[in-house]
Amino acid sequence: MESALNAVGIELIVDDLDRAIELFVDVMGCGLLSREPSTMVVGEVAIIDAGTIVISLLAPSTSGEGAVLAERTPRLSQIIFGTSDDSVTGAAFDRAVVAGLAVSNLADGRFHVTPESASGALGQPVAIVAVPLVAP
Amino acid sequence: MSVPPLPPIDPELEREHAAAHGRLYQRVGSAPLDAVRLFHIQQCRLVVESLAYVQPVVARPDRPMVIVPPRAFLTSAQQRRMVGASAAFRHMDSRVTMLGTGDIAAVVDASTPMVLHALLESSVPSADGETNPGMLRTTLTSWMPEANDFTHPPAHMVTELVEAAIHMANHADAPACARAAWLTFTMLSIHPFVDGNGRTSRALYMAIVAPSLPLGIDWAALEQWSTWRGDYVSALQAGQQVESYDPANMSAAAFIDFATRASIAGADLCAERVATFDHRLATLEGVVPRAHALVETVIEMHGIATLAEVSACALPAAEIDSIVAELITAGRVRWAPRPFGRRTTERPEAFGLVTN
Repeated sequence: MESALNAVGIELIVDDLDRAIELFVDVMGCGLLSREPSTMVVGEVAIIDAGTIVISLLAPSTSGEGAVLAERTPRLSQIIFGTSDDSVTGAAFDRAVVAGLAVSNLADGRFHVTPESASGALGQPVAIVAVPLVAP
Repeated sequence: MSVPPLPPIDPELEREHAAAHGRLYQRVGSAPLDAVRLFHIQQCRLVVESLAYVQPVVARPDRPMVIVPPRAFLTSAQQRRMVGASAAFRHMDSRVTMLGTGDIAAVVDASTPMVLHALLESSVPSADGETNPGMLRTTLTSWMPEANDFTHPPAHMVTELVEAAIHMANHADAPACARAAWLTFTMLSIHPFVDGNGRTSRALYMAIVAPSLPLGIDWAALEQWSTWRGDYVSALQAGQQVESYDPANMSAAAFIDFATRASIAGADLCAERVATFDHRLATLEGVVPRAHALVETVIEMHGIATLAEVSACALPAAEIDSIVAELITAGRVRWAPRPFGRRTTERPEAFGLVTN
């Protein structure tokens, strides 16, 4: 089966954002695209250019204005797939449902296989996210 | 210290609730028995999945799913939760039946929360070990502060509070749907067990509301609670805007409203499901004998079905064997390897039946 979904990124939850950036940028030679407060949960996020994918480094805070991430254990938290073809995303959604995974509808044509559900396959709670991409 | 007040329910909402369950009752009553059987097979599974709180196949769907694939890729802990939820469901079903025959005075008595908890926790589903199945907690508990900074009542108050809650749920002058939702809200606020409070409180909703409904069960309320988990949590938290258990300043109103609307939506969805199964069997009956249509539909609704799953259609085993053989010969179904994500400790079979 030819997959038109491409892995475009991963998200890591980290304890120490300075050290994580140092590893990827200063040691591995990746580019730092941005570092700013996180919009989804309270904390800070850095985006790393890792060539064919981007790496999001999320350092969640324990307090602050907005949603506090309950499970802050450092881990691989997301694997993100993308395509510019909506039908490919739709077909992946349908396959996930038929397979009996727990799938959550997100806005704008995105969906994710929940970490709890993926845990039944991977042994660790990782969200499998599918997002639409703008065609080049 | 006592329990929170039981707020009045919107009379119009109460009427809508009764009307929705009346429509479902009529739909079930007018459907052929085999279509109702298909509905029961799917809905029993969904009740157990919801009671166990394994996440639904699709959360926040664009439109409700009429035929829902079984959850797969369950962790071993989730598989054990399903076993406990199934036992608790059977217990409630038996008590509702016994109430109907006059053998007991109420579905829920003083011991029911502990019995349900013991059944739900009997297979040690918690990742962090023992949770004292069937026993009230002896320590102070709270949720994670970033999620909800509400502190539950002290352990020495729990027995008295649970008894008061059960008494109120059984005897208050209010519709059963309101009493049932109130009990869920109150039990979750009391948090009488170390773990398993959500599952026990959801089971108690089912147990309190069941005798008041024409079918003797709220088939899809818990499924709706799982599907709309965010709304469920928000409705609970809306009534807990206090730092610690403070019944005078807590309100179950938002949760009663949420639970009643969920029950209405669930009843309407169930009526649609019964109609869908009825139509499906009628359509297939023009192609294959009716019993064959029943077996083929059971296979189709599972995606891939073991013989044990097919046996839920309640035909004699020899007849099922014969029908399956004929469907295979006719090229309508075939054996296929079961996906690893569907193989469980309970259902380890390597092959299952699929429709062509």
